[in-house]
Amino acid sequence: MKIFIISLIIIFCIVNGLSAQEENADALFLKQRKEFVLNADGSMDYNYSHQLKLITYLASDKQYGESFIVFNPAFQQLSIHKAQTTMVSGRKVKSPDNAFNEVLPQFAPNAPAFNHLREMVVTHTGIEPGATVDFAYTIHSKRDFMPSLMGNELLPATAPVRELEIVVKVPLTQSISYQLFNNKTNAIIKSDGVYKIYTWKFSNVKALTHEAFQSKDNRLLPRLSFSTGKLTIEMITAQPAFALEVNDAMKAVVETIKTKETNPLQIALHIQELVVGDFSTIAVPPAYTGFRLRTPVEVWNSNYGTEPEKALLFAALLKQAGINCIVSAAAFKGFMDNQMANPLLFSEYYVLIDFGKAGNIALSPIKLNDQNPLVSQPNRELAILTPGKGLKTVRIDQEKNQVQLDGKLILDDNGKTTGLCNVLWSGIMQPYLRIMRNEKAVSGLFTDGINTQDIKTYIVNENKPLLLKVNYTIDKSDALHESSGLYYMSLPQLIGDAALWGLSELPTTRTESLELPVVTDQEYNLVITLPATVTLISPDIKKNVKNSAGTVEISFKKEGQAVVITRKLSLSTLVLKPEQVSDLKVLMNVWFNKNYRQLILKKI
Amino acid sequence: MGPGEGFTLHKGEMTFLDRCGVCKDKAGMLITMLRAAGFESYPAMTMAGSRIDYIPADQFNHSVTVVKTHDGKYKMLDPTWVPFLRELWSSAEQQQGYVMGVPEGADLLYTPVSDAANHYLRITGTSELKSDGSLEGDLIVTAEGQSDGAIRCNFTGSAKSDWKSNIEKELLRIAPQAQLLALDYGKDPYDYMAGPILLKIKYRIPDYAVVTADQIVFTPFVASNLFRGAQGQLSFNTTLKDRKYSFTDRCSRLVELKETVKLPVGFRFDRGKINMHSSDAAVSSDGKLVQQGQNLEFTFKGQYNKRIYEARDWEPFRLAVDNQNFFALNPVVLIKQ
Repeated sequence: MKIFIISLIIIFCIVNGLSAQEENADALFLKQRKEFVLNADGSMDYNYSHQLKLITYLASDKQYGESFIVFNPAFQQLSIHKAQTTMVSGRKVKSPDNAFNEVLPQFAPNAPAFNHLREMVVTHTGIEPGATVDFAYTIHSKRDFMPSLMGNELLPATAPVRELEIVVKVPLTQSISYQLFNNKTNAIIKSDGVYKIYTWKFSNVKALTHEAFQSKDNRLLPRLSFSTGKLTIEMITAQPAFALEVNDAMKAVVETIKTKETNPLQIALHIQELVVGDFSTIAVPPAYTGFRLRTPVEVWNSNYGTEPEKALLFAALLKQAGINCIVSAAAFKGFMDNQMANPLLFSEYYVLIDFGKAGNIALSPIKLNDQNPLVSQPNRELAILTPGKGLKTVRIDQEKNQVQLDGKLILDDNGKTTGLCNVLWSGIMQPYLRIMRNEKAVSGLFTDGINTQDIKTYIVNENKPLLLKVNYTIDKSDALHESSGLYYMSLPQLIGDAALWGLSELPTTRTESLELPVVTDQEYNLVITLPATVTLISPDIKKNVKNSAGTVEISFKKEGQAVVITRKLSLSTLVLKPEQVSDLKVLMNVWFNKNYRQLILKKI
Repeated sequence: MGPGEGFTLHKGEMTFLDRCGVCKDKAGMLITMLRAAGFESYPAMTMAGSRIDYIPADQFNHSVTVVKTHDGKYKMLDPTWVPFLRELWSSAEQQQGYVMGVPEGADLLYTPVSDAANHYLRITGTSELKSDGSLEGDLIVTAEGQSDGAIRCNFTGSAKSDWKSNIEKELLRIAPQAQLLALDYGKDPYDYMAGPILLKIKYRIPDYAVVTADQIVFTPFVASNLFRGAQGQLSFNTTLKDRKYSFTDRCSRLVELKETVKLPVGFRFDRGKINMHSSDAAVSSDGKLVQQGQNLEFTFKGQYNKRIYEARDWEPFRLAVDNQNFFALNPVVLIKQ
């Protein structure tokens, strides 16, 4: 009897758990299965199947009417086994012959080198809310297409998954290295006499959410990474592309740059502008070419490349310029397992340049970052891709990321503001590369309250890779905005201010951890002297909040004809659990509040 | 789907079984069903989002349906653009050229203007401004036609798990510290046939107003341009003084905003009353802010009568938008008596 009651309770909990999951879902994967097979002859099979229940019109009309499968016909063969819908009435509708259409993948246009890639668009017919779609296919890859059998599977999908099974089969003589992140399910390892079979079974996997500020590289989501290759990275870097050879045209361009610049960083930045701006970036994931990368000369001649290809081109040009550099890739910290790296986890590619005493600086081949993009990314690692050598990783340290302004401004009767602002940016906040490209950019580092034309003069006191100190002389003619008889004066805001990060629309309900761009300390200290003809309407303010997300302090105080303003924000926790997000909102609501970012004045 | 498509209308049976198709398949499906129901119905071609010149050439990008009504006139139907819209013909396609494929032949015709009142957006609020500067209140948001669609798509065009946060974000856009206390969007936003969308919202905004010893400065919440996504007119840059060419909004539209704000005891609206008014056949506006007893009453009505405006309509259009923005951008000052 006791067992019966316990069983009933368990069944009740399971049923209700599923109901709660389905209640807010537009669709539900009843079953999802992914099987990766390394055959004895070196070829590979990827067998995918799912049973998807459509719940809402959004699911049937907009989300799941079609399935998309990208494959490389030069090395892969796609076989679709099943595309059938069971309608609410029970009627089964197979996708007709004209429901299978090959198109050019969205990421491969304008690039002949990738125009052979194909995307099979499968139209699911008979779909309606309440219908269930059964879908199954296999991609067979020829031997040597991929450097090894590998996978990088996020467990959550666009809809909740009731039963998820991931299977990896390799010949008995082989084994895989694997890591299961953010999940404790154990692999079941067995043999069927031909294959060693690794199986992971998951149930009730919650869906991906659309919440903003989720972890970089999705590193906090459940994920299975595996690979059969101990030498995968060595195989990739053994390609001719890593020889970094250049042709005469490339040599000539480098020589032209070198005649204009002698500073190695300036030469590197000019070459970066060339690679970023003059060569189209083609967003083909390297896996679709089996990590085959075209040589820098081929990329140069074609005028386009993928991100790793452009990194190699960048490195080849730098090498030609005599600048010591290495191609590298970023991934989340801990992605390596016993020196076995899975290149599917690489999310960005860089060229890491050794500037000797000035240290290493990473430059992107696809965008011009204001700062070294690897500053203050403590949850990421940099994989060094050096031919002939095993993978090494570089740790990325957390730096002190500050924005600080100390200013004294005087407002006159005519709404003109003059004075001095001493400003400091450090860590990731220091727009070092932007300024190295163009020192005049120093005058464009205010984002509110003061415009470029309001800066009369500036003196750069210090400009190091992680620190910038500037003294600004301000001369602003129209500091006040009149409305309903009151005058409003916006306080200065600097580039890097947390108010610019887009946190203002964070909903109260949160299910995933929130990762801030960086931890930071921000501080504005201002003394604004008012003329005798103007009186302050803004009240004295004193706000102090301290919680698990950090601290915020706002103070407006009138001292004679002067208003003494302090605005301080310290965001000390990089990753906030869902239950901590309300603390962040409390801090940011004070920081955002426009009443604490402006002065309200009245002319007497 | 597949090769050899062109202008072929597939058989109704096929589309019905497939439960999918492009515009011409859906138009064909509707024709089949209407004919089965005894109506006289034909396909028509149109150019969604652009114009058709009066030359016999393929200038079409969209297929729709016409049905003959009891008075012998043809009525336009668009089965592709109207799912979850309370219209049979999408008014986002008003003032648009089309050619009917009727047996007697037809010349190039244009769809009529849809009355702005068919696409009303009404936001009605009651709120109380506390002496500490916080604002608490209720909003009722209702809409019809294309405006209904613009509000409803927060639900029908979005994952179910995001429905509440979509509405919460509307408040956060105005005040990041806003708190959504309650949201009622009815039984099922997908059930668009049940009636115009109706949202009931309760909110609180701490630190909303600037409070000094003798003044309170704030903006009535309904005046703050809430639900901008349903107010295409607000996306126009009205600093442009003149236009040489016609311009297009998404649809004709009637915007009606109303809020009663209960003021803290002892405070009065320093200007007593503000009126903003503009009048033109194309666009008109009428806004008012007035204190009545202890309440501040805000009303604004903007009537945008076209989808495609002529260049000379720009002045009344921008005037109406500026009038609406006036109330959003110029805070109210309350004086302690």
